[in-house]
Amino acid sequence: MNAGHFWLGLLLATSLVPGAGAVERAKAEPARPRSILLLPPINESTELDAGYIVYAAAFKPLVERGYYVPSPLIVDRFLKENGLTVPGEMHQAPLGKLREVFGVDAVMYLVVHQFGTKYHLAASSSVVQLEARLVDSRTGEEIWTREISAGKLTGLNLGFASALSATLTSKIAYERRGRAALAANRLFAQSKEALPQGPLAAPGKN
Amino acid sequence: METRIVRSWGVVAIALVLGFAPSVCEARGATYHWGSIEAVLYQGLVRPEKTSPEESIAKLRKELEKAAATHRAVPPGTHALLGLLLLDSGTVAAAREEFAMEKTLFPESGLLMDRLIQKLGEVPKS
Repeated sequence: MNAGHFWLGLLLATSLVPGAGAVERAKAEPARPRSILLLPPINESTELDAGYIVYAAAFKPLVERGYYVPSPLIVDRFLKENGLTVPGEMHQAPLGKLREVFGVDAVMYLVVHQFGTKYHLAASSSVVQLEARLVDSRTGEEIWTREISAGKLTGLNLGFASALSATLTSKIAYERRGRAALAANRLFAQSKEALPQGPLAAPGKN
Repeated sequence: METRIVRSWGVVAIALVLGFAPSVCEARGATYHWGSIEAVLYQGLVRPEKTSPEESIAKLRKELEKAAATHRAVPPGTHALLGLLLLDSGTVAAAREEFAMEKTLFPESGLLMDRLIQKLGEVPKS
């Protein structure tokens, strides 16, 4: 046996250590929740529905990042039935209480700062500004935060809308959904500021 | 001499691939079957007056069938939501089954599902 074989052997041994990549990820993420409670967003925009449109749109990208997320309809109903009727009040709920009720490792607070649209003749220009804060439900420690401004999304060609030949009202509704979905996807999943992937990233195969 | 070096690097390459393969697969991840589930969520949250529990139940059941047929998992909360809608339309036994299914598929939901099952007025089986 010579030095070359020794170093080769060592390289082999270390590269076969299970989850070698996972060790690097653990260093970068102090807390890695399995479940995240997504609360209805606080809406600071001038569009009345924006909060709940974003709420509906944010569920899928958050789930796809690899976390268990209680269904938004269940969460919203449960909180309202327990006296927290608007997102502002829901965001004030004590973490311990949320953890006790929903059994989640972390809570995601969203704020819709802007959702505005200007309608022109053949197109629209919009700015979506979202802010997110992920907080450990046990310690209150902030795990991740991000703010995005989904620039100017011009035109009604946002996938949903272009497939319709219906009324302008329908087109606007679909465009708003599309806008919210793009923004939420960018917030959670795009670029290196994305939310770190969670442990459910590879869901069960039947 | 040359063959030994080539073989050594080949082994190293294979070892590196095998060693890091699990983390690569994790990062990629497979997606859930979503179908019209997002539309059901949107309707329920933004335009509840435009839909009924029965309509949403039908849509969710269709998606569950499609998912089963293509051997894909449904997203978190699908069975739970179906349970809630069944409760809204009066079928308590079926609601209980859906909450229990959600708990089976996603143990992370256990606490919340037990709470919902308890609210149905029956003793939850553990």
